Formats: sequence, structure tokens, C-alpha cells
Amino acid sequence: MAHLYTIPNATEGMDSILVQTITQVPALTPLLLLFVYFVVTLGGISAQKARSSTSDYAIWGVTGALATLMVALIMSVTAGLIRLDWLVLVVVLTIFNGIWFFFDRKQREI
Amino acid sequence: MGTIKLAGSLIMIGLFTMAVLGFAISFASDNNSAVSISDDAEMVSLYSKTKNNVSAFQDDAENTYKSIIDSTVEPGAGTTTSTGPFSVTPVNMVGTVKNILTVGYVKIFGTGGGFGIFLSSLVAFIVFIFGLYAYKTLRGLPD
Repeated sequence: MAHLYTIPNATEGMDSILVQTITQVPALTPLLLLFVYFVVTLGGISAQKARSSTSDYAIWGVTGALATLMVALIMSVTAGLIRLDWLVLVVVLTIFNGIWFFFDRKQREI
Repeated sequence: MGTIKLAGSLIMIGLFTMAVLGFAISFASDNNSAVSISDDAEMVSLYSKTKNNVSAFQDDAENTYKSIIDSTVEPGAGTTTSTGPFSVTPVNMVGTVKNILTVGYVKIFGTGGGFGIFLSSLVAFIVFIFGLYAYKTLRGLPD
């Protein structure tokens, strides 16, 4: 059966499978991080809205960004999983979410 | 928004940036990471700049607190006669946010010249708001 990319060698452990896959498909890392961000952020927003009919977008943005940062930092331990520019981008987006969050607070909330 | 809220937001942004960058740098150092945020010179520079700005704010806040405590108001006077309470160098903290936004923008979009005017306008607007708050305290006019 033909594949679009070389199938990773599965006998060397999970890390190796991920590294080999990312070597073949570099977009996997940013898409994985984007997935984490949107699952946490949109999941939190919709869950809070379902319970209280309103939602705090900024705080869920920060929560999603911090969750993404944690995943990115864990990925940074192993060589080949994440590039430096992607890690920097995740840090920058986390800080930008923080700026949005702190400017979004009401008078009584800070 | 309120001057306390605005100044508080600026300080919190500085502290949040320091916390995120500090954690990322320490994480890489502690775990001997293959990819470290400290390999990016601009991020390390932003971390040290933000740290210096927050330290400067601390010193300025102590001095301003002393000036507030030492200040006097004449009996029957409805307003203060100086803008001393507003001298906690918000301009310094606005500069911190500008640094953070600039580095962040460059990291995402590259070194384009077009963003400069946006940042300058934003910073000028925030400083202008602080000016209006100071004026409002003295004269009570703008809102």
C-alpha cells in the first residue's frame, strides 16, 4: 500500500514515532498545539456558556494559551519535536492572551 | 476604566510576562531541554528589560507613596494642587507593554515598519488617558 510519507519505525518508542512523523510532516507540531489551544479555549467558553449563559472569553484564552505552553515546553525536552520559532511563538501568544486578559478585567476584578 | 485599574493592568502584564518567560527559561534549564527559549536573544532581552522596568516601578512607587503621605491639603480645599499622586511613572510601565507588544509582533509578523505607528499611537493614547485622569483630579472636568 502506497503512503504519502515514509511510515515511522514503531520499534523505537513513542518519542521516536513522533519525531519521525514530524520530520516527514513538519506541520504536525503547530497543528497539534493549535488543537490543544482551541480544545481548551472553545471547550471552556462553550461549557461556561452552557452553565451560566455567559462566558469569560479572555480568561479561557489565557487558560488555553497556558495549556498550549505546557505542551510546547514538554515537547521542547526532546530534540526534533518542536522548533525554536514555534516555541517562541507559543510564548508570545501566551503573553498576548495575558495582555488581552488584564485589559479586559472590570474595575472590581483586579 | 479608572486610573488604578489601568495602572494595575500595566503592572500585571509586566509581571505575567516575567512569569511566563522566567518559567520557560527555568524549565529548559532544569530539564536540559533540546530546544530552549533562552536560545532566542530577543526573548532573553525582553525578560531582562521587563524585570528592570518592574523594579524601577517598585522604587518609584515607594517614593510616590512617601510624597502622598507627606503632602498636605489646605482646610476647605476641594482639590489637590499638584499631580503628585500620578507620578508613579505610568509612562515607564506603558513602555514595558510597548516592548512586549513590539517583540511579540516581530516574532509573529517579522520586522515590518508598518506596525510602529500603531504601537506609538497606542502608547500615546494610554499616556494621554493618564494625563486626563490627572487633570480630572485637579479640575474635575473630563470624563
